[in-house]
Amino acid sequence: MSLLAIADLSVQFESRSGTVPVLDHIDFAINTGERVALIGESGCGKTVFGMSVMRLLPSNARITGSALYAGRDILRASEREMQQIRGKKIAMISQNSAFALNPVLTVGDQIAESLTLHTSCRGEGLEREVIRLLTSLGIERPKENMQKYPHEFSGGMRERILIAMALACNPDLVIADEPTSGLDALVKAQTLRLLKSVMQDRTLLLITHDLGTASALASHTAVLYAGEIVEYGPTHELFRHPMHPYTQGLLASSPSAGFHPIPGMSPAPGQVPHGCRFCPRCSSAMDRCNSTHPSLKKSGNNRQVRCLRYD
Amino acid sequence: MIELTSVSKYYSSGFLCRKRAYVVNDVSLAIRKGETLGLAGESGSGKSTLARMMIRLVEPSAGRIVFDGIDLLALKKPALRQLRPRMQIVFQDPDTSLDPRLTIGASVAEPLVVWQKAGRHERDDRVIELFGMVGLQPELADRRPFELSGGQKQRAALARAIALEPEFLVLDEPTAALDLSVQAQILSLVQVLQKRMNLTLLFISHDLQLIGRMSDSMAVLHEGRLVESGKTDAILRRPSDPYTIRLLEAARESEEWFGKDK
Repeated sequence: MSLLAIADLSVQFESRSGTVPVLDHIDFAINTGERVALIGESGCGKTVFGMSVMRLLPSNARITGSALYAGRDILRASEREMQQIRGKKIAMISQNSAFALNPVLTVGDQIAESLTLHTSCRGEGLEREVIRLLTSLGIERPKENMQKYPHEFSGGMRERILIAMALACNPDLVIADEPTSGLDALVKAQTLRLLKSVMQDRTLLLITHDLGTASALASHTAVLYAGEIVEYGPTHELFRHPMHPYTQGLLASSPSAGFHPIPGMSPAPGQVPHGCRFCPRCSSAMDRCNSTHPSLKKSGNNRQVRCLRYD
Repeated sequence: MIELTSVSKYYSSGFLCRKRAYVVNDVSLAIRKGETLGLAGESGSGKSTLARMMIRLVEPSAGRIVFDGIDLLALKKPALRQLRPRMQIVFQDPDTSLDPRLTIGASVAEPLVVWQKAGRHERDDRVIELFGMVGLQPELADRRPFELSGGQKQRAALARAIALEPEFLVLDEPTAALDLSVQAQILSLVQVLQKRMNLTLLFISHDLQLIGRMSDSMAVLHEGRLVESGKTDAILRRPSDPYTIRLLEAARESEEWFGKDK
């Protein structure tokens, strides 16, 4: 059974100039032990997806659909119920470690925060737990380092602290939003290795635009384009044999695979084409791609693709 | 085209300024006309400082820089100013390099205005021509930076940099803030412009894959020192410095899924 089953999730933002749809009819499930990457480019809605599962969207967001976690719909859970889930059952490694940490609290206090909220750990036991977490993430001299403030750490170290915070209460599901963005090559490789080992037996939803990060960490990958999932499948197969023209274009535009750009640009939310949303940029578009909106269909073993060519 | 000999930059502190913190330490390198030098290194390695010294946006503490036979560091301000149109730079983040209050068209026209390169009408034509060269729709000229995507803003920054037809162009991580498919667009554009205008490029990146794609020769900077330099192909095939080797391994590790298929 799925740990988290999302059905028909749509998110719209109310703004002064009207309603802007950001995510459209997303169906998505993640089973216990799976590590699923959601990849896509800026503005495709991937962060909004993570935030809607955490119920952390601003008040002008209109969410429809359902997200069943352990049999109950977290999109309809009360704020009090959500507080029991957030951090304890579903935890998030937020984007951008420089802003995600509170600059005026020591990192030890920040890691201890969710432990204090959700467990009976107090006093010495709490300190032992924080030290254990820091040690498990390869932070040396944890006793000394837990007294420090975020600005005293490098980007790679701050990322580790964010991971420690997320893992503190041993959650069922970890959502990681761009855990490697802004890190240098060497630190990125290190962080990836670390994430790989700590996420080995966990369930992970990885949100990223970095193909390398997705391929290193995820068992399955979903490709998001203009608010829709356009392709889904086991990471290995999907990267080796991409089916959707967008996925193919994305892979071909990476420097080590030929550097062939996709022409044009992603449509802005609210200005998506009528038919296939990728049609205007697609090199293999057919006549009906302009008018017919394709649905996400099963294709072979465990793969799904939203493209009329495979109908 | 440009040659650096033992260039250093340090900041002094302590008693009688005796403590010196070196940001760039004793770097010598050269770029030939029409070629691209890729400059690799991590954050804080001194890449940007070195690049800015090459066009004298930052004053070097020691060393010699020769630009097309001219001793750059010996120039007084007015002479340096005369040289400025020949060397331009595109910064990493277009959000901080484009004036948020100016329209994109005005930003691109600014160097033409400053250098009085053209009358008002010719100037407008030239801006439209520049927009075409970098693949921006002319309608965008009236927009302001916040209305544009990251890729469009970087195209505008590029248009502004080539407006005065420079010979030497510094690209300081021009695609670090952009998506993969946009990065490929911008960098192919750079390659087209380079051929068309016979530009000499300094291309800065921490991504060795990109350096491999973009440059003829490359240099690796580590803690302000040059640890390796030479032909890009040769270095990527057979790096000799341990730091370069580590960088290459890290790059390969995160791109494991390529290669296997080839």
